[in-house]
Amino acid sequence: MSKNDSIVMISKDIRVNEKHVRERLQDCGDIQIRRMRLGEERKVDCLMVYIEVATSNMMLEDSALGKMIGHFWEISPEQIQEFVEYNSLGIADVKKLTDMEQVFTGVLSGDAVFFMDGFDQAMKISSAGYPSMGVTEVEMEKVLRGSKEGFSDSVKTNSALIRKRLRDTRLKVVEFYIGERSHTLVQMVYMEDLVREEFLEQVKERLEAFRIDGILDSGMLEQLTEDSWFSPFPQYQTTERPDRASKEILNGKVVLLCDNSPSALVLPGVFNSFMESSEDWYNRFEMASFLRALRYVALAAATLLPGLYLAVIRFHTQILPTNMILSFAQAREGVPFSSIAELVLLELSFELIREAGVRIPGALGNAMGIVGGLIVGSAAVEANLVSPIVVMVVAITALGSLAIPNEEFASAFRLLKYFFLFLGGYLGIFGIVIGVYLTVSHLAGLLSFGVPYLVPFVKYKRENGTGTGILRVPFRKRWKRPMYAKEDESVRLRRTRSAKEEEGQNESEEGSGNWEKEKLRKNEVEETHNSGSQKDPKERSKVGKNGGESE
Amino acid sequence: MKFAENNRISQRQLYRQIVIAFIAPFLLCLFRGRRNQGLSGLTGTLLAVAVFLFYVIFLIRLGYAFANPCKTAGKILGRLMGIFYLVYCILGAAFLLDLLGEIVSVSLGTGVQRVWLCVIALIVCSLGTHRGIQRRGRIGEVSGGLVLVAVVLMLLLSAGQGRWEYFQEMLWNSEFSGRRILQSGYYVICAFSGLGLLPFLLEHVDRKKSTENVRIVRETRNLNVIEEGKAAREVDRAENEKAAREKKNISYRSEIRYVGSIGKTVALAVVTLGVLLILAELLLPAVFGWGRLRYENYPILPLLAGADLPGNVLARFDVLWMGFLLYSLLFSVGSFLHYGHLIVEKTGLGTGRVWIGLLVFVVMVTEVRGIRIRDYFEMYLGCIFVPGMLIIQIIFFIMGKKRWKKKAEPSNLKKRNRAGWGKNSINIARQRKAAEGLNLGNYVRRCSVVVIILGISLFTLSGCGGVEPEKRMYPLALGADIEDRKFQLTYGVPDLPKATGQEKNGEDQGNAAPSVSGDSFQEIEQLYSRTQEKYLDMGHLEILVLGQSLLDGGRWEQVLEYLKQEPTIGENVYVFRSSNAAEAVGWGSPQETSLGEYLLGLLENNPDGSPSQAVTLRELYHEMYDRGALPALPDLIIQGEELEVVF
Repeated sequence: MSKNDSIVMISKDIRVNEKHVRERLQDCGDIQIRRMRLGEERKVDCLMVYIEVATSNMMLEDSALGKMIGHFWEISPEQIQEFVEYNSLGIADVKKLTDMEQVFTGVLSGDAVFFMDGFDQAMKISSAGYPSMGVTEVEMEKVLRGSKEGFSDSVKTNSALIRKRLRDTRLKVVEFYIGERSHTLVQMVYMEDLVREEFLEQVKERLEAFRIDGILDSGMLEQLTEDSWFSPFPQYQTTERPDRASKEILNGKVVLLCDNSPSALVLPGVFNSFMESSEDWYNRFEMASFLRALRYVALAAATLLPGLYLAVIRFHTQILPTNMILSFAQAREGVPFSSIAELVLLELSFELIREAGVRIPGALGNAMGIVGGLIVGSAAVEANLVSPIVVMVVAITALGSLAIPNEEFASAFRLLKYFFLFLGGYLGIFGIVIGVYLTVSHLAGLLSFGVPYLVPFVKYKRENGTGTGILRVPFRKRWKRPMYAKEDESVRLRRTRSAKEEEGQNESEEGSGNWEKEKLRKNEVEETHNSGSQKDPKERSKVGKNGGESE
Repeated sequence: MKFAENNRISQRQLYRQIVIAFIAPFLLCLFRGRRNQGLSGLTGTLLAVAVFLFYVIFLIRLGYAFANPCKTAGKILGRLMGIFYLVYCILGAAFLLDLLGEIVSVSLGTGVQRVWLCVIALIVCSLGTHRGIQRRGRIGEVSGGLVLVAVVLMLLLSAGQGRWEYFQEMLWNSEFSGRRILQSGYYVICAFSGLGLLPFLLEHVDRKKSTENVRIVRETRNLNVIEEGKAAREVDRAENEKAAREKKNISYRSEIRYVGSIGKTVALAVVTLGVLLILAELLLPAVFGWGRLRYENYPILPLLAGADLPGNVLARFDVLWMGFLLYSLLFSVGSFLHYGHLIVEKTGLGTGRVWIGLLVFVVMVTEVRGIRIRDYFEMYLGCIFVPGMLIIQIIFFIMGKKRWKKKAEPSNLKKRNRAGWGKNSINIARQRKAAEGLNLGNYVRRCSVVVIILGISLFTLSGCGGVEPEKRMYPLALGADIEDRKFQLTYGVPDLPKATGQEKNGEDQGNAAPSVSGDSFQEIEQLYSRTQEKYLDMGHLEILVLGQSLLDGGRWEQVLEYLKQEPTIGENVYVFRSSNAAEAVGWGSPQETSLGEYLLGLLENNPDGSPSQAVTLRELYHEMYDRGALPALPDLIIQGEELEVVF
């Protein structure tokens, strides 16, 4: 039986509707099915279905629904019919429903549904919706400069936060309901004229490519739609910051918002984007560049340091200055474990402290960190269970991993650290080289929605003016969008005529260079557009799709 | 999807792939025993690079013929050609793997048996080699630049150790003759022969480069014509438009085929490698001296054994240098395996995923009457592969040209589309299928097997190479002398707590100077391991004291040969002479510092007694190989508790 066959249409007879609703909602104690009679002579039978908590204030005088019901008390049944049919209750957020599936979807979304006898449609009236936390401060991606707003659990609030930053009709929000039982609302947010059509199609395809009972967080969505599910590296960038999501939308990327999840998915996610912090673009470029470079050093330390330490002290002691290796040797005197076991134990202890710190509420979590780090560490050294050098190695490694802005990305390297630790410990530098080769080889094979993961370190052509890379270029030099955006919309920064006039004769050569560049670029874009316009859009999209790296 | 699934690589990726794949094999193999050195070597290298710059033009034109060898030359000839190249790939991979095993086991001392090291390296290199050219292109692009910069940096750093007088030895003593130049040139050409595999790759390299070409691409794209730039213009426009309307679904990748120039990129890569070779050829004699190079198998390895970084951050960084070379070697082996798969696919010989790797391993371990791959690979290159490859390429060039002319006619346009890309499209579809994860279960299973094998190898095969730092003895000074006609080595070990400043009350162990005697150094090592609890780590040796008896007896050469075999000993060790080496090494200053620490302080902290007056081990090696004699060594004179150095 097809899905269409099983759809029950709303009847004109309110008793039929009520029977069906009550059957379906049997034993659903949280859902209220309230009958009422409206109209001057109380002759119009009506039915209101809603979730108790989600629509708790529906009867209040100041709510739209309350006012409507109050109004219906005073008019004749004919007028009520007319009012409902042509005026849609006069309430802004009202939608007419024709079948029972829509009714249940509406009710379960936290809205109220209003039936009226003699009328074969129901009204979905938006209400307060499910309780949620509202907009809160970001916890994971804290910045010194920039907005403090973070995404909440409500997908509607989240899309509104993006809309608040990008007040443009070209910002599109496409909705999907995923999950046979959860009916989770997923919103795909993008800038219509910036995003590539073939990319958008692929995102839609992937979202519709599976059926699952429930999606409870964006993380589940991520794992179901990514290219290489076996890789420890996240292929979607996640963010809790509306400003970050907005920035990525302006780069031509797509943002997926999932109901009940404060983490937005930004796709495609590439290596360098995980190393960027929101405030990179708010701070001055010198400092931002320095910090970014520092993060790469931190990444290397977080991954390689334990392995390198073992490789050096167990195999290639000649690398270190004599005093240093003698210190290491002296520090390890009396330690009962091998250096590999010592390091693994301490690393695992750190992971335990970290895990415990996350689970324990705020202030206690900090205390746990201090207790774990200082007391346990120094006690272990005092007891000669570990050497002080190893405590330092673990501490620097931990600092390195904490300096990586994206937690999921850092987690991949935290895992990789153990791999390098064993390779370095058992094979020395050769093991480290093998590990690096395997890691690079794996990363080189990873794609995020068709975009190589190692972009911008691998790229088809030079991307002058896009600002992608380890160093953050000044805004004046970052006049192009990265390659994710459509080519004919690649210019992001233009100088207005008035700004040029203001600068007058004192305009620097650098600036005029940009201006010229932009003019050249505009010509080129026009040329591309003209040549491309000879084809219909479908065909152009096809060309892009097959064009691959040679686009 | 865009950017990735078109099985094409950019020219930058091609350039970096070539550089990273050739850099380590060149630096390691081309300077063996003065084979490619001196003025003849330099001229030969220049000649070979010049020849290759012209050869590249020819090579690029072979792209069409090698895109589908069986179609160009028929099934039998095409497959024979495939087997010829496949043999080269297998032998090349086996040779490099053997080289890698030797370097790791001898120079890095992992304690793992060489054959197992090779197995691990082979497994690592095999992973993903059949997964399309783009992956290799990206590995090359990401790491090629870094490796190149690191190698250039290291070569420049080693330049600081060079001496003009050593360099002059090369100028005066090296043979400069036509025969030697040709020999050397052919040697370099053989080394560059890997570029012969390039025609197999050309169809996957994007050729958009100049503005003119971009325009051609656009024009070609609009017209949907598969044609080279010039030819495209020659074809009648109206007819092509008609053809285009009929075939709207022609893919983009086929449209931009054979447009632009890859030749420049390949030529640039050849020039880069040539410059590096010449730089190394100039540096090696300047650092080691001309005489010593004759006896060095891999002179590039100890190039940085005597260098340290400013600021005393690292005492030595030759291990890091080896790390970069090993990475490049791994990439080279992976490239051979990748091209093996490519050839096998193109010539319809199966998939080759398993058996190519197995064959490489078998060839590597096979030894017939003491002859192994490293003994005959050079001969194979010079006598079989290079001449054979040239003949094959000429045949394919002629056959491909005929075919090209036939296909260039507009009436055959439709047919050409199918012929040129049918097979490749299937391959791409297969790769996409694999990428889409339709066979992920198998993939994960294979990966798990590899991880398990690697894990077992790591845990079970690692030998005694990894020794904890506290279980090592770090002699800072070594005394070598003759006593009762036996060699006597005395190890000057500092007091550990005192040297590190971490001593506590009652922890004073005092300096130690154990002496071990034996007829040979092997015997001494055996005796040491039987009598001493700690592993002897010579990596921090700073001072070498040669006893008078040793010097008078003329057996000092054996001591130097022994020290040379020990890769952890740096070549910046200071050398002294003394009437009694054991007594000198056992000497302790009134402040209870060991001889090693005392002399280091004396040489490096005192501006008057500058290290330039001291003699290093490298200078000793130079004199030994050049003149067979020792230079004048500073004398250590002990008077009571005082020690004096007489320069």
